Amino acid sequence: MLECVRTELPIFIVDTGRQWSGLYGVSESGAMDMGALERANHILQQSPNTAALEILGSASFVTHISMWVCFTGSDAEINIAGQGRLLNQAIWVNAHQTIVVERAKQGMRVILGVYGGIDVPQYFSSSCGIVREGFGAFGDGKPMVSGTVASINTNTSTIANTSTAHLHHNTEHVPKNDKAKAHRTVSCVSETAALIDFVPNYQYAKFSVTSRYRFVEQAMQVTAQSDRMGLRLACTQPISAPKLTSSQALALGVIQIPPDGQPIVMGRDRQTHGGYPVIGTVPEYGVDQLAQINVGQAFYFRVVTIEQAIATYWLKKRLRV
Amino acid sequence: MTDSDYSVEWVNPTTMLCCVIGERLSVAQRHQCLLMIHQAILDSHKQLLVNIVPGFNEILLYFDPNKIDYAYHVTLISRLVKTHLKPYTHSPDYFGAAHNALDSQEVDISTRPITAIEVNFDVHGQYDLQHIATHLGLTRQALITQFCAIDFTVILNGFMPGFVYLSGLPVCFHLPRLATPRVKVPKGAVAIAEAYCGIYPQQSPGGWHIIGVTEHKMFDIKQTPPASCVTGERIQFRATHNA
Repeated sequence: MLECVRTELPIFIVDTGRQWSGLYGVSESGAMDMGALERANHILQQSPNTAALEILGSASFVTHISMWVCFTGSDAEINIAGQGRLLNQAIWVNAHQTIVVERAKQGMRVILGVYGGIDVPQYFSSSCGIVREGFGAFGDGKPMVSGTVASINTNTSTIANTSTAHLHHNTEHVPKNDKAKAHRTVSCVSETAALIDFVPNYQYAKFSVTSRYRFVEQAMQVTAQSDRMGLRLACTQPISAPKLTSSQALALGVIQIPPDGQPIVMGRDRQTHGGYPVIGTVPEYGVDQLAQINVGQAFYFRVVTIEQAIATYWLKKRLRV
Repeated sequence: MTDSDYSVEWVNPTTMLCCVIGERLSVAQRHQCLLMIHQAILDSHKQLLVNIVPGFNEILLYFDPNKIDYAYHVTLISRLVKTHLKPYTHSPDYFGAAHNALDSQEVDISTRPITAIEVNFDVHGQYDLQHIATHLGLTRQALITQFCAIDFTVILNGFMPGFVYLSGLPVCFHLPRLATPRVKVPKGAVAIAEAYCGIYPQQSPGGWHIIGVTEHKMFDIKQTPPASCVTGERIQFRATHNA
């Protein structure tokens, strides 16, 4: 069991998302920074679909049993039983120890992967839940809040890798109370995140020349109104959009342009269909980057062909594992 | 048929968008054609996919990343779309041929069973039944009778789990959405707007004209499948006794 003692913001159960949910009007869901989830599960040597926690603000936990954990994503400071710990490695945590996650300076979301995964009922092959849909996660789609106790799947027969021998105890290697050193880590938010790729598709051809240039020539920012449904962006010069006659099926990363001209990049919890015109689509790896860009930090959109997006997607996927 | 009648492309590295544009097709023909494509994909290529989202003019296909062959799959799906579009477009007598094609395929569709959904029609004037009847120049009873005679087809569940969009509404029933949407549309509301009829699976805001309310459970996560009506299914409404 892993108990959330206190959390600033709701914590979501995330995995690689639902399957065969679209026929029923049910969202895809999944980790906003999928790369971070896959990395955590890879380090813990288990299936990428193993359910982990997605933490936005600061939070603290207490373990009821001993467990392997791994933190990935933003450069949040992690303290376990008072010791600074590194991201991107398997950490053994004893029972009754306190885990403290501070709000990151760079990046928005931390993945807390657990060996075995968070154990909740699955729907559409996924442990995710969305409050508005009313099912999944910690019951009725509810996220983890202060006081929630999560079960950990300890039934090794359902865990892809039944031995933890490969996860060497590394507690001795971590410098005691050396927060500064433990804090230095590789974050997935690289400098290239200031350029976010998008593939022009859907209604791109129907957007005016002015709109198309405006979309790429000005700085964009992610706003605080963003959530897992959509990353709401702000730009100085609004983008004007053509009229759309009917709603359409929304892929991950589609960039909707609502009447106010401020783009919305659809996230993992997006509804299945939407009625605003779409100027293009941010590939999966770009959504990962956007999910970690700090509120208010400027970035630019860069047009790439679908072929370039595919090449980058596979390159990043292979570098990750 | 021209290439502008459809488009099949990868929109991101794992998702393919398959659009049936065919501007010369009627709305009903387009839905019919999409339904055939949807069924054909599920029948023959389900193993390549992890999810599918049917749309009004398109189908979104989520591929299993480990099974993707970009060029081959785009060709495969394009061919499949072309095959199903052909009966509608491959003739000098475009509309005549399309009509015949629709007739012949209706035979296929009509073998699907009809699900009857009981509705408490809005006979007490709580919602919009009277307004719709006035608009159509019908009595309330005649409206209910005509509405219950319509053979609807489910196009998709969308926007929220179990919200169904039904096609088949005759043109005379087409009404624009309410100028001011309701803050509270009751759970189970059967409503119409533009070319569609819809059923609200739960209470929500909405701008459709409410014709009645059903107790039919549209979505229940404990059921298999969780949505009671899925793409391609036929629906007919029936008045409950007290109506």
